[in-house]
Amino acid sequence: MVKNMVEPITAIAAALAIGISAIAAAIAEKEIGTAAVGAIAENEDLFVKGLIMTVLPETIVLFGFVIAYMILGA
Amino acid sequence: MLKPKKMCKVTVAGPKSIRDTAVSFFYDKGILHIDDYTKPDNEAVLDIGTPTERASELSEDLVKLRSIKKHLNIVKKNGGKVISIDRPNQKEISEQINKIDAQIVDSIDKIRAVNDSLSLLKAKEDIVAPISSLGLDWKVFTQYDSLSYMVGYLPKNVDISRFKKELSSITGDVEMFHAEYMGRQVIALFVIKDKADETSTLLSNNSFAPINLKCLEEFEGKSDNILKTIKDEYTQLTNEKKRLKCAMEELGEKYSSFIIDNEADFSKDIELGEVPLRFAESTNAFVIEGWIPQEDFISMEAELRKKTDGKIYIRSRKAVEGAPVELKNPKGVKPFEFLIDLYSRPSYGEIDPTFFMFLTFPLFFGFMLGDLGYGLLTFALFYIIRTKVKVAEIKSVLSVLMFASFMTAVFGIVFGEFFGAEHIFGYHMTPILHRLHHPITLLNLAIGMGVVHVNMGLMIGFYNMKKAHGLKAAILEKASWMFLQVGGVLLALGNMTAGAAIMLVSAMMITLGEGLKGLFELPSIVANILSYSRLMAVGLASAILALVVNEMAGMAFSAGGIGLVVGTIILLAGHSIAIFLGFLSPFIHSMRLHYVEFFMKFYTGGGQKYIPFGRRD
Repeated sequence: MVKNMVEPITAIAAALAIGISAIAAAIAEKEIGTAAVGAIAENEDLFVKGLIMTVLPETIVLFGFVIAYMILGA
Repeated sequence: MLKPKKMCKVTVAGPKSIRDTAVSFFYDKGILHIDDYTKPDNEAVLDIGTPTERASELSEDLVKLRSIKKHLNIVKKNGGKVISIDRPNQKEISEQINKIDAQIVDSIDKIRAVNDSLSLLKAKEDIVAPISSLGLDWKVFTQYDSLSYMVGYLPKNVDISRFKKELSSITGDVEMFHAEYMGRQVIALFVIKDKADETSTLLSNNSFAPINLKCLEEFEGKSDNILKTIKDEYTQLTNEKKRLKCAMEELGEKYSSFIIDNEADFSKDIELGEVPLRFAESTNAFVIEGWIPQEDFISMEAELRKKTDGKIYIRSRKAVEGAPVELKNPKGVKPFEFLIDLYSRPSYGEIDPTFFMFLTFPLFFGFMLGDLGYGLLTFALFYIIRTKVKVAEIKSVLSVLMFASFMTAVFGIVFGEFFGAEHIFGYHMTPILHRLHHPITLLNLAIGMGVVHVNMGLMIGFYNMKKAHGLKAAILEKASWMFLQVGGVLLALGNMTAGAAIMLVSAMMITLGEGLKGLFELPSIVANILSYSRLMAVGLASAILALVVNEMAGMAFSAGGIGLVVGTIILLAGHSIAIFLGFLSPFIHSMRLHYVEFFMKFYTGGGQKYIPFGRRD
């Protein structure tokens, strides 16, 4: 019984690791993205700066992704 | 290649008599980037130069020329040749321009008048034509003592026989005419005046739209005849309009080369005439300051001295900071300058990262998308588009994309993927590394690329820092981060004491170099390197997407019959989407890895673009 429970719980843990970090990144990017679009509308030269700032929080998902992989691999 | 072109600062001064010679010399050479002179408040010796009188005269003519060009729809074909600087017949040209301008203004006024009459006629026709369809004489619509009349449209859905019945319940003294015109119902009602109000109410209940006849009092006789007159006039006016437009076109053909040549000519003269606004002048002398590539300086100096009979003072100094930046890269690497400029041009004296971008951008891109079929297909596609477009920037982007496609194909062979499948038309591809079976190897590879890339950035940073602030700063601020990684690796390998010691020392070095801020930034190096795991994550996603498309199509195919059609559609649409997504996200992610993880280790940017006076692109 206990042994059978390990697999599903690991899967859920991995899902939580990547899922929650994805939501966190989304919330962060939402705020930055709105501000960036506003700034770009004012001055188009800010496009790349806006893009860079917007994609910064992506790293959070990647951390989640790596952790999820480690959980599944272990 | 790794450094922008070397510049030197030049100061050119001389008497005003040779100013125009010097200016046109620099214009023709197209190598001098002029530093705009701003007059300091306390110094009254040198003023900002004054533009030549010709320049302001010419700009008026140029405005006219451009408006003519627009009205005549003249498209510039090939550059327009510049005739000469001093045209003796300037006055004639000016008169000629005024003449053409007057002709055009005249034609445009005439066309406008014709258009106005045409729309008036159209409005009249809209009134007369429906009445003509009723077959009534125009004269029945006059003033009556005891009769009222109403003319207009009834909506399509109104049943006429029902309407008639309702009408007869109001009064028997009524005459109604009814016809269809252009899919609408036209009616004319004649009713005794006493019942006019009730009839009006009935009409408005049926959404009646009246036609206003007041404006047509000028007409007499049968409405058929009136309609014919209107139509005749209409054709006449349309022909007139055609004739006027033709005349305009002829005018355009006749003068197009005159206009294009003179426009190019005038722009040049104006540029030459107005450039004194950018340098300093006293009553009798002028001083131009600017930048010239070092390699061009000696020949430029000799030539200019010869041109001005030695009446000129030229001095050059070695450029330090603030010089304009002209990137210098071989042809294949050049398109990647676009990606650098998108971020910011390198500042003068720092390393130009275009070449590194050329090496790693397509590599990362290909590693993520990695599909032989996608690579070959898009390579051909971008190549075809590239031959069609003319805009230099789009060409650069397409060249970059072609490199990316090429690397995609190369990694397609490594991963053994062809449109998501492992076969090319029945031939099995043996992957060197199977992405779906060995994701951990893929992850390790991605992280490994990250370690190399980040340290490459640190090394360039070391060089830049050493050049700008000396060896000590370079070691404390850049080399320390590399030591930190060594310590981390030792720690991970189990060598606790050595690892911890090295990490502690490098942390202290970072704090010394960058201050307390650096200490808080310590974990960022891990984040930077882990960030490269996206290379594997995005790659897996694209591989799986292609696989899913193939499986869905396969299911449809195995059903047979209509399934064959559905399967083909799934294949085409699915792979199109996969290619589109497959280019969008690796492009952005590869760009981000460069801009954020790589550039932040060394890049200052903010350089001024080298725009020499007189250069035409």
